Amino acid sequence: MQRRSFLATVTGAAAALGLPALARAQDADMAQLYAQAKQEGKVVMYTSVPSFLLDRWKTLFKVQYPGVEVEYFRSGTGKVLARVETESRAGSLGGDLVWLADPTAFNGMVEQKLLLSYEPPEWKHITLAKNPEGYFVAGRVLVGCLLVNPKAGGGGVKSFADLTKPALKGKVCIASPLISGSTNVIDGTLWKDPRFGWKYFEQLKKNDVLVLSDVPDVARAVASGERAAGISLTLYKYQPEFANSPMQIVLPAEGAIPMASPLGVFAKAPHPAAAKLFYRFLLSPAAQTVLAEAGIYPARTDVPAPNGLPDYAQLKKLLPDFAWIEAHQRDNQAKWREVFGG
Amino acid sequence: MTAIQIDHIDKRYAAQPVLHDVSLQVRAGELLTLLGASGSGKTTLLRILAGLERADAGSVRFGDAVVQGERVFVPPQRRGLGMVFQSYALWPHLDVAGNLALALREQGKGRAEIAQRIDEALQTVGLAGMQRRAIHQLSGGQQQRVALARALVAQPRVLLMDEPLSNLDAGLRDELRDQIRALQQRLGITTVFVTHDQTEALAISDRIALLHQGRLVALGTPEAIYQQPPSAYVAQFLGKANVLRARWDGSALRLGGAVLPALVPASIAAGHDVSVVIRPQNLCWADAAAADAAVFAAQVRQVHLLGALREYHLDVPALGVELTLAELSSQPQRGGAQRVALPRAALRVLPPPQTGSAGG
Amino acid sequence: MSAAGRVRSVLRGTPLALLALMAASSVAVLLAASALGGWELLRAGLHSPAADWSLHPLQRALTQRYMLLGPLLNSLLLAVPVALLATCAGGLLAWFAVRSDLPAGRWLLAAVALPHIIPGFQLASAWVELFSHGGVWQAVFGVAAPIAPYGYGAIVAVMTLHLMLFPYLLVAANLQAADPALEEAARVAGLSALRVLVRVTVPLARPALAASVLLVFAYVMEEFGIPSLLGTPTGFDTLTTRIYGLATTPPLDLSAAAVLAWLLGAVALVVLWAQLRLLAGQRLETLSGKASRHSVVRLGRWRWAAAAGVWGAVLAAALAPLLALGLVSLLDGWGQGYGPGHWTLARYRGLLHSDELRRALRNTVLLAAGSAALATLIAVAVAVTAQRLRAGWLQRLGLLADRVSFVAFALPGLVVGLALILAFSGGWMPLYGTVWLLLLAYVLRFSGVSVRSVAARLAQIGQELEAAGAVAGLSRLRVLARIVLPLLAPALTGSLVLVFINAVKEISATSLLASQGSETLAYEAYVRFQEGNYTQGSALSMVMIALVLAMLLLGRWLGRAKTVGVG
Repeated sequence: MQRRSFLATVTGAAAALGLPALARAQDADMAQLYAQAKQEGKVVMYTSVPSFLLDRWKTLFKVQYPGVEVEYFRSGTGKVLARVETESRAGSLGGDLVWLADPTAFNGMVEQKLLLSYEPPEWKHITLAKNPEGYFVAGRVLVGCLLVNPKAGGGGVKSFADLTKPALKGKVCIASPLISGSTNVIDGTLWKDPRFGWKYFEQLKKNDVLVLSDVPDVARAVASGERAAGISLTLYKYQPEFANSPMQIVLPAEGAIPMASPLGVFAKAPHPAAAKLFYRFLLSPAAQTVLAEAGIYPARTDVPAPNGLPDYAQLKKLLPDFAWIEAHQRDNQAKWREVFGG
Repeated sequence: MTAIQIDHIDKRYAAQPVLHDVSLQVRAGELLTLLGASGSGKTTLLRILAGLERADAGSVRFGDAVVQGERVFVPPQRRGLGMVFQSYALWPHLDVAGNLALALREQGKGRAEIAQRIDEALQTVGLAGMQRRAIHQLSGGQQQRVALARALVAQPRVLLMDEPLSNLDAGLRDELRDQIRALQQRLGITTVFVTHDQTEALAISDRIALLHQGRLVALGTPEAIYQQPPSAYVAQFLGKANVLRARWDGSALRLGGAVLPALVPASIAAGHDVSVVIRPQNLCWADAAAADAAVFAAQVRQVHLLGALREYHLDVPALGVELTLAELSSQPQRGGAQRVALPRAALRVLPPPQTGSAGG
Repeated sequence: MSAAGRVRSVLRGTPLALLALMAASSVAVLLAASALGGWELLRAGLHSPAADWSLHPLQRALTQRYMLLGPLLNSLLLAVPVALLATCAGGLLAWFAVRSDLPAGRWLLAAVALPHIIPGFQLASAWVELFSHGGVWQAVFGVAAPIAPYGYGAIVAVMTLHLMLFPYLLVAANLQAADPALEEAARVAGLSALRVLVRVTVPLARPALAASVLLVFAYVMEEFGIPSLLGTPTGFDTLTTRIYGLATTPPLDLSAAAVLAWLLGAVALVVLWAQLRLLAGQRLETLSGKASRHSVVRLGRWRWAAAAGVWGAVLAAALAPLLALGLVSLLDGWGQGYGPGHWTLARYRGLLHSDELRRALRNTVLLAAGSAALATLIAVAVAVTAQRLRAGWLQRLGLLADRVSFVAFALPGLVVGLALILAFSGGWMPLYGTVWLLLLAYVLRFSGVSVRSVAARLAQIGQELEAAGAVAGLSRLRVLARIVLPLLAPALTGSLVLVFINAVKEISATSLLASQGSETLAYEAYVRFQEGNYTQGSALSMVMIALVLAMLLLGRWLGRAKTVGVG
């Protein structure tokens, strides 16, 4: 842990020293934003990002920019979206920024023109989920992977295909794409892939796969030994209560599935300057390092990957096709119900 | 002095008439009983007096104050009454003192005065010292007396009682009945008493108002109503009665082939049927009868011993009816063929029953 | 009346008048908020991207099986058996506690309350931990559990355990106050104790039983956590999980969700109407003015068998999930076994030191107590208005409030939350984003519980008791205060307990409406569970449970003689 922070500080310092002119220009802009933000007094973010991350950012921000209160509305992706939608319908949005798990969740907001087009300098360091109109960009990258428990019989699992092996009958668990947004993306990627498609899921069903509600449930089932393997996200291994369990991350041989988790500013934000300030803060190296410490890939390319995982560039990936996922959403939901019921 | 004036009270439930044109006066200090079978409207009338029901027409006055009228309706809270309910309606969450104190507290009395009044009230009903008892710890008779004490403790101007004794066993009933009467006379409080039991009514009332199907069919002292019932129905309701149908041809009462000697009121026109009412105890055997009595042969069908009295059911072929005769049980029992006498004075001749009238 | 007496009388009257005023305004707020929220939901339901008013969402809902008919059928398939089972179980336990000499009967209340205090999804979670592959059963007995950890059967079982408390409270209140003469008459006539129970006690308890069935039915219709956790693996979807899916899984379809919500409300209304028709015209008054002690049924040689059976089942249902929860809250980490050295109190210590969590605790207590008090106040006002006033506009308003509160209870919390956002976020109401909006949400959600239990009880109070009060000189309001309210006490206590518990647990509306500073313990726990922080979430849940148990004990201690379950 300490090694990570130190590295981050060094990197940050290097960046500050190495690009003085650019940094000075940035600082001047930020200073102006900060002055305006102090007048506004607070910033409100609607998000599904875990609260321990939010708390750390709040503390960091308070140190750097005292006088601007940070408030969150933290709930599941669905509930956040529901709140955004209903508040917009009523004509009074209460949030300044929105940060959700996957890009498809943002489509509705883009369509309804709720987001602000804003491309600050931090965008240079980010390559993922960049909306061409500037409405949102990746703030973090969740990575779909396999979680296995060697003690429960998951030792030999190395790929998605391994999950359909007879030896793992009744020992695998997955989450439901009807409830879990990240699972929707992971499954969507597999559905489109000719190596997997719906055939893969039918095989899983024949192999007595257990369908749980959401990705943390998969992590718990695997960590406790209830199941031998499951499809979930990398970040759970880094959480304190799973850290010392026999559960391990296995990056699938076919490729891990990255999901850029987009962050955007609302066009009608009640605190516009504070919104922009916080937005830039979240994309700054210091804030992004917090992600890596929690087992989440940062969006910025100049911040290292989580401890024990390869850098993003080196990661073997199965890239999701968000447009395809969105276009086939209803059909896939119907097909899921057909295969798994409900 | 009239304590309660009731004028032309009408009451309907849905389309059913429950009370029809009932008028009567209750005198100060008297115990008036509203007597009748179930469905006669007696309880409804009492509730109208209490203000728990509202009459559809008519008026009620307590003294000079109109409590129910054209545009006036005084709610029960302000009528200054005491009421004993059939089920006592004691409040289970309060002890005996609590039940009595509630009304007094409403009047704004101080603690000391309330305590004193409660003591007096409980003394009066013979339950001294029971202030702290819970209601469910009391026997039926005790609960009834608490209900009575509760009704009296606020010194009401009128006491209403809704069949207060009907839930008690016979021995207790008589005892409490007499106690209530004694208490009422001692306090001199105007009381309206509802019951379906004619024995009760006869025993304690200053006057009785008999109701039948919502109409007042008799009003008077127990003595008057009993001895001179205004109709066959009243005669049969109060005590037992033999009711015969005879024809008055202007000179004689004829029944079957026989002639009955009787005093026929002038109001009855010749050539009409009449009701003849004879109390069983006013019939006698021929050997004890006076000379002006009509005597008939009779066959004893059944004999019942009713404690002090013995009752005979007799077949009287000449009249074509069955008669009931009652005499003191100390007399020797008779059986078989006898001769029964109908003394002139024992026959009460009444106008014939008409449809819609209060008769038969 | 003396001057002092007059002053005393006025002073005594003032708090009463104030309370009546508060009750009236609460009912008015309830009706207004329901009207506004309902209207907004209707507008949302009839809204489509093409036109502001369109029947398309309704059409879609009615024609696509997976949208409405399938989930509706599932919801009913759940609601009816659970309502009947829970009512039987809860009613039977109430009888054991109040009318028999079962050992330690007075503690049955706490044991029955526990599975209700534990939030639904927690209970479901514990069930899974017990019976799943690799779970506790397997660890203890070495073989796979014969009971399915997921699916329809599991949902029915867990829901029944979860909801026994409703019938328990209502039936116990009924049994305590019924006229024993009715049962004694049956005993004298020669009926055995069992036949007395079946032929007399149960029919007399009809209003309480009916109210219980209704409440449990409505609760099952709107419950989300249990069917979500236990139904997802087998694809068992209920109307509520469908509504949640439509409202929270992208692409959002709020119109469809609103339409389904309206249909759910209609189902609830039909059920309520049917039950009221069944009860209409029956003589329900059992509390007259001739009180006497109930004789306790001696269980005789069945006593210890009954004790073992009843307490065994109840403790298993209550303690097993509590144990599961407690263990997780103390767990150092997953998958390391359950030996010594793997336990820690760190989560609880963290609670004490966190400002946010202390604030959440304070919010929870205030919201729960406040909504319990307001809901009970509303219930008394509504029940009295609907049952004791002469037919007229005011009485009809009372009936309307009665129906509205029930429908609001049957609606999923999420829908209530959505309706409130639609109705109140326009900036015209400063309530939005504050704790007060949560209070409104809770009162809207749970008044139905109070109204049903108070109404059932009021129906049993003989009107002669109030007539006697009137004749004794008490005004209508004072008759209410000095006579009716004390006699309603068991139902009032029951209502306070039920609403308090449910307000502490409430998450479906809270997770939508909470803002900075208005978080509750339930919300904090929910967030933790969502993020996979099960240990901290369990610790928070344990604190919630401790809070409710403390409140229950406090209530017992304060209202000893009137509290349900005491002999």
